[in-house]
Amino acid sequence: MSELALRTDALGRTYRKARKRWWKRTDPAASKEFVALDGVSLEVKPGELFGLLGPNGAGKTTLIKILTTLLAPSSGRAWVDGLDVVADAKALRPFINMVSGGESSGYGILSVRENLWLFSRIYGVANAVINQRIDAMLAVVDLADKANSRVSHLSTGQRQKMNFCRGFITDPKVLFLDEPTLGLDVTAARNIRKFVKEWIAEKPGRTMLLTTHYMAEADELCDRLAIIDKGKLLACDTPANLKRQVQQHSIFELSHTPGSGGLIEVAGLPGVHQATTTETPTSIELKVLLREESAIGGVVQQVVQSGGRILTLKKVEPTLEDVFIELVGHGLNA
Amino acid sequence: MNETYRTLRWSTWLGWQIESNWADIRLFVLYLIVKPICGSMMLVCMFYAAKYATAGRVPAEFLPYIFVSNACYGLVGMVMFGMSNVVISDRESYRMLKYVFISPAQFQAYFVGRGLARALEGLLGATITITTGLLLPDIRAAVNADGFDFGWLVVFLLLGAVMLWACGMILASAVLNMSRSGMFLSEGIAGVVYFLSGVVFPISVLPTGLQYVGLSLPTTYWLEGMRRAITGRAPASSPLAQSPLAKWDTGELALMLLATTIVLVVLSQLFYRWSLRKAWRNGKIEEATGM
Repeated sequence: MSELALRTDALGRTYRKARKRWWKRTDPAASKEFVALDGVSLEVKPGELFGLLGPNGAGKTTLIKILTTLLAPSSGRAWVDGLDVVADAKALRPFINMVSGGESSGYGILSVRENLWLFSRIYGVANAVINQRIDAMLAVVDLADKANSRVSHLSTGQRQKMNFCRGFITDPKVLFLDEPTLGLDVTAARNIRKFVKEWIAEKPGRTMLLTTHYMAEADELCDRLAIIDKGKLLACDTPANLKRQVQQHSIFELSHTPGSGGLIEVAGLPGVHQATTTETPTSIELKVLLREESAIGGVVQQVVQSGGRILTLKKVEPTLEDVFIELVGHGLNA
Repeated sequence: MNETYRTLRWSTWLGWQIESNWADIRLFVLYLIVKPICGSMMLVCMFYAAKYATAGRVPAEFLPYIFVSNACYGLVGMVMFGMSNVVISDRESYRMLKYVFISPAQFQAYFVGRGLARALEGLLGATITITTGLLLPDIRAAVNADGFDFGWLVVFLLLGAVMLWACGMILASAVLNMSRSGMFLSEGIAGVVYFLSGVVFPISVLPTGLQYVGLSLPTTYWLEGMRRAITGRAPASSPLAQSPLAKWDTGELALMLLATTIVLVVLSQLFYRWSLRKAWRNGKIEEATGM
């Protein structure tokens, strides 16, 4: 067990339905049992930057909650750094940390530096190195000028940056990043991605589990990826290998004006493996995976016959999004 | 032990920062001094109103009784509300409870540390209130060198601290599995305990059944002990001497407080473990219900 940084064995989590009480209004959504994780088995080696991709409600955050000892699994087992997340939770906690993106947590009355100092002390970081680490981390997220500002005076994005620092400042052995760049501006997100890569490379044995909505981010950062949907693990491999799965198909992106009858149906045409359509205010973007390249002729003909006018047509290399669509049946935002 | 001590240290610091620094000093002073004094002064006015209405038949020793009890009970309310409110504020407002839970911090020590800051405030408030009460001749007559017993005061304060920790943990544990409306629980419970512990009247006034309930509460013995340590025993001729506790000597009172506190501590620890496990199983430690 100890050679793996993370391991889950048929891990499951079911949110039980809320018990009906005569004095309490019950949320209809909570009256059904909901399976958030369904027998997920994963293995992550030390030093890996492992990504979890999946749509909203796929079970990514639930998995992170269980691995960080925040939530009990309903079935199966999980180990982090060789320690059982249920039986050895107390022994495990000093070595892990978590950052949840898109939330503005923090003690508003304290300054950014005080918040970070506090969490360093919780983890027993020596006073002598705390300030040095805080300064370094604040520089990474471009928040140095706000070090002495009260957290209540920060914007949501700035709070998120502070939380990112809080995750790293304790120098965890295994770090869980749940959508760390969600809602951040482009520059901040790029700096964070750069830092994440440097952090993992800096010390052997550091491991990171990252969930993200951004396919490009996952492609750029992750050594391996798992695609998860409706609590089930659909695939797990390196980004390159995952893309190779769809490389057997030719992929075309076609932009056209709407047809006379609105959206043009091409999925059933001969040679078409899969088709996804995205509407923009001015055009319709069609992405088709073809079993054979020659099938593009039929697609073009169908568009033209339906009253659409082709604006652009190009052949593209497969992306993680194509893999995702292939496995899940729809895009992340669908 | 080291982890517990460390958690206690920083959580007390955090508690003090949050409690004392959330607004400017004027508001803090208003909260710390004006609120408890006004609360006690209302009782003083009620006492004089009753005295006036009954043509002076309300015995004078009732005033120090209710004044000192009420000042001391402020501490109970502060700690009970303070510790349970940590769950609500950290989970719903600061959104930090989950990060504390998954850290190496000793989770219970975190609540205790945050509660300590509240207790310090409560102690300060009680001291200020009692000191202010000395301006009234009836209270000054009761709180004097003859009545005051520093040794017993320390004993009851120490036992009271343990009792308050247990009370606070019971409420904090309950709130772990409740939504943000759980903050009303502490106020409700504090009200019930206020009624049953003989804060503003001797428990002999209560129906027999409720007297037994009052006698099972450590707060009843603690308040009686605090009153005795500060003002001395009620005169034998006073209606206050009809209280079931009036016949007990102070040592017996302290022993009973110790015994009921031990029971409360055991119950609070069992309840804390059960509640924490339930909250962990149901995902309540990070579930914000306010938004």
